[in-house]
Amino acid sequence: MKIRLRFTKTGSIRFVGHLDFMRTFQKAVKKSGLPAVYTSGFNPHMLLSFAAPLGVGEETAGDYADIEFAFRDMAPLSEHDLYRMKDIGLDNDALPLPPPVSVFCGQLNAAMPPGVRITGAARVGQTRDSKAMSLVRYASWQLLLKDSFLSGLPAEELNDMVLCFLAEDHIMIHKKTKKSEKEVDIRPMIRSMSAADLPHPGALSSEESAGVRSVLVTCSAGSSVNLKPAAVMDAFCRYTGRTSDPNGFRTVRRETYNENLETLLSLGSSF
Amino acid sequence: MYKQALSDEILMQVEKPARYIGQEVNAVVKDPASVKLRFAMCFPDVYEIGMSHLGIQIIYEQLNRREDTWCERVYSPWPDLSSIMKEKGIPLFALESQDPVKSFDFLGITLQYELCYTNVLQILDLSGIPLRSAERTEEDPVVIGGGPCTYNPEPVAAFFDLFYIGESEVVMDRLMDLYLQMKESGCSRESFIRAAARIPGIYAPSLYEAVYREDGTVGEFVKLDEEAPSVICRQVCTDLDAAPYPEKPVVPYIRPVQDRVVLEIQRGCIRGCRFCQAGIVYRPLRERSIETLKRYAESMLSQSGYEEISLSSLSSSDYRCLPELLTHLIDTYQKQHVNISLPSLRIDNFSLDVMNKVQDVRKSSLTFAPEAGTQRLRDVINKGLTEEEILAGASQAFRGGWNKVKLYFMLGLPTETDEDRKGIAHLAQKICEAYYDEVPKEKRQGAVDVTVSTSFLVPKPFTPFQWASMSAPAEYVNYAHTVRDEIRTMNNQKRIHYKWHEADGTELEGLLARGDRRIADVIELAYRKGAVFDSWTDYFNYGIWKEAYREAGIDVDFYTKRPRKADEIFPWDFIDVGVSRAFLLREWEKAVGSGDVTLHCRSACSGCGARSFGCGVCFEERDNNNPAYIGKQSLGGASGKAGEMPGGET
Ligand code: SF4
Ligand code: SF4
Repeated sequence: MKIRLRFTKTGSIRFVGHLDFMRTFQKAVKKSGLPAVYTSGFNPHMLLSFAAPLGVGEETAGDYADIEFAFRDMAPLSEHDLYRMKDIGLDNDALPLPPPVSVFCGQLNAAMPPGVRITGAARVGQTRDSKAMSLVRYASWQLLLKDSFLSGLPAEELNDMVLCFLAEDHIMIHKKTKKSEKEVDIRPMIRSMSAADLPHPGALSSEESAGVRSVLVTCSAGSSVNLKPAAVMDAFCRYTGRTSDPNGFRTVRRETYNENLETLLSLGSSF
Repeated sequence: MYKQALSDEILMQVEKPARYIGQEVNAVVKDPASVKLRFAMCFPDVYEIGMSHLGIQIIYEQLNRREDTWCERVYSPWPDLSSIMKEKGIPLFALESQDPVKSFDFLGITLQYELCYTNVLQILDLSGIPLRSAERTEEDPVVIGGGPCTYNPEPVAAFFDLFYIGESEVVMDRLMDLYLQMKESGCSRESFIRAAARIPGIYAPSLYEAVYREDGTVGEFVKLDEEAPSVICRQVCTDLDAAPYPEKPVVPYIRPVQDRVVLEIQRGCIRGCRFCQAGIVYRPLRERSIETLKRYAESMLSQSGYEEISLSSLSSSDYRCLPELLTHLIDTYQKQHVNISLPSLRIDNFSLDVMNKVQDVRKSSLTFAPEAGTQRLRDVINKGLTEEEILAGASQAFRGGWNKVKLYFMLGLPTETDEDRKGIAHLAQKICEAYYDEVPKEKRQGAVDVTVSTSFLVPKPFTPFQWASMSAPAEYVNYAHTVRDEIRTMNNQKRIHYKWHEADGTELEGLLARGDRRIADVIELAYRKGAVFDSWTDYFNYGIWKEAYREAGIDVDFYTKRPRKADEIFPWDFIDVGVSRAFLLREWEKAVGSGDVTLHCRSACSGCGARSFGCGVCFEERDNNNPAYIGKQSLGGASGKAGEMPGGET
């Protein structure tokens, strides 16, 4: 059964890069004792894939990963489902039933490193286009401003600046790739942007839950068009006549969306 | 609330920031207010290397079992970070609490190889602890060293307050208890050091003075404190089954060198290769029981989520229950998708069968460590592996589908001639021939592939070769060229790849290994001039060291090339490792005299002295049905891991 997990990653673990995070996540799933499915061969690995990698230093309150577990699927199985299961050597009828979602998440959470929490799980079908990774179109970000010019502005003033910025028809940035350097218009990639005083989405204690002056951006994400929030901030700072400081804010992904701006998981209590 | 010693800005600036954040799964976090003693345990190299070291994990487990103690980890910051720390005056911190090392009660540093000595000074320096023990005050932690390099602690004696000679399982708790008791009664640092020196195995260098003769050798080792012991005895754990073990290993975020559960199946070695320090200083061989190991495998895998398990020991084929253990691991864990990483094994039907089950034959290679190119020289070093055994093992493996072979040799051995060096090329050629003889054309999976690696002998304290003299770096390079040139004349030269180690590092290692207290100045000078991470080729700069030699007025040849008399007093002679000097001398004289071999412990006891520990192989009941007792010296090996050698020792 392919299960989609929704998870958060906050705190120091933000300094663990994507590949290392994947390995860490895989070890935690293994430690949980839940029956993840592996590839065969001398170097077996879990059938695990993440929706959208985070950069070093970035946190998330709403990310997704798909993992195949050896649980019996009670939903009607499609041709494709059956084919895939056979391919990885599973016989659906012989598999145990999955535990309730809360038990399942609890078991995973007990094994996860500090800062990582599984906040939901649901069965997803096997069809190829249901892969979390290929569904991602947008992400919403909260950029928590540290002491800087921007954080010192009154909230309305900052909001007005954001509105003016968004009113531009074109927002050009320099994009350097391995091969070339080109001018790109990022305006079409930005869905919305605003400023607000909000706590860190991963804040647990009341002491941290005080609002922090933040910029909220929802912009394109995923494998075809991907816009980094830092690039938006960079352009915004230039627009306001300041040079941007890459360390001037803390980057947290609030949610990941599909093309309809829906989250990648509709939560339920059973698989 | 979790602290972070480094700002986001710095963490985003350095390579692999996850090296410095702590908080790994199974890292031990305690409330500082609830403990009385803070211990910082340091491996003076980069995180990925230090995290792979089992010894530290054992101490971590052992100390954290104490309710009154919190043991944390410290590693060398990578050069990108250390320069930022220096520039901004950020003190070195321990990973778990992120608190400055300077605020701890103890700073323990493990000395696994000599080339880490400048890193030790960097650790002290970044911590804000004076480099020399003599300059420290009540504000500084007690700096204690351990590990294999403490079998000659003299070159770094000035930098340590104490050394622990032997295995941590034995008197560590006693030392901690003493410290707490004295701390509570307000005793000074100095009185603690004096009192600690009375615990067996604890060496306090400040209580002794070395007096040198006119010829430069040690004349006398004088006690400055009447009550300090004259001889420091190595502490040996007599019951490994009862010893603490890291059953909940800390799981790093970034990939360590050993990204797996490690089972230490035994300690010590029965073989007695004459160049090998580990083979002497861990005597006698002590096995862990198979029941204990099965239990550890289960708890470590289930509590870490690791997907690989490996065995650790000096010579795994000598573990008497090896077939049973490997069969158990394969049967139990392969279906749980856990890789079994094999140690180097003597090649026989069993090992080939096991290798077939757990490795991709086409990708794995056989490993042999004949160490010398001719039988004569292999006898001199007491490496009883014969050419027939190597060729028979290789042939058998070739028939089984293997085609990659790794061979490890040493150059610069006592009595070695060009004949012996060329013998390395000849042996490699014979292995190529064996492949073409054994495997019919239609069954060959590509061509045979032989990799020859050589390193240079560094004579180590407490080995029969502690009397041996080294060659000059230029001569070493010539030795390697002899091997290279001879390989070029072989028929299958295209199938033989040759790699050799740098010679400069060897000379430095030789100096540090058998140096005396006067070497401390050189180490400090080199550090001050910028030497650090000397074991990393990219960072090693021998020019700095040569400058330091000149400034300190040290004659390197005195330490490396000078022949030593049989009765010379060595700087490390005040340590008793349990193997007698008479035995070592006998072995040395045999090596350069008759060239006779000495049988291993299970063939015949040679009365080395280690029996006095009252445990291990010295008291085993002989079992003639177990292949471990078949009276031959040989040790071949096969392994799927790059760079692993039978015995894991050079
Ligand atoms: S006393 Fe004998 S059996 Fe024991 S370690 Fe020494 S040589 Fe081996
Ligand atoms: S080289 Fe290996 S086999 Fe020989 S004594 Fe050392 S550890 Fe034992």
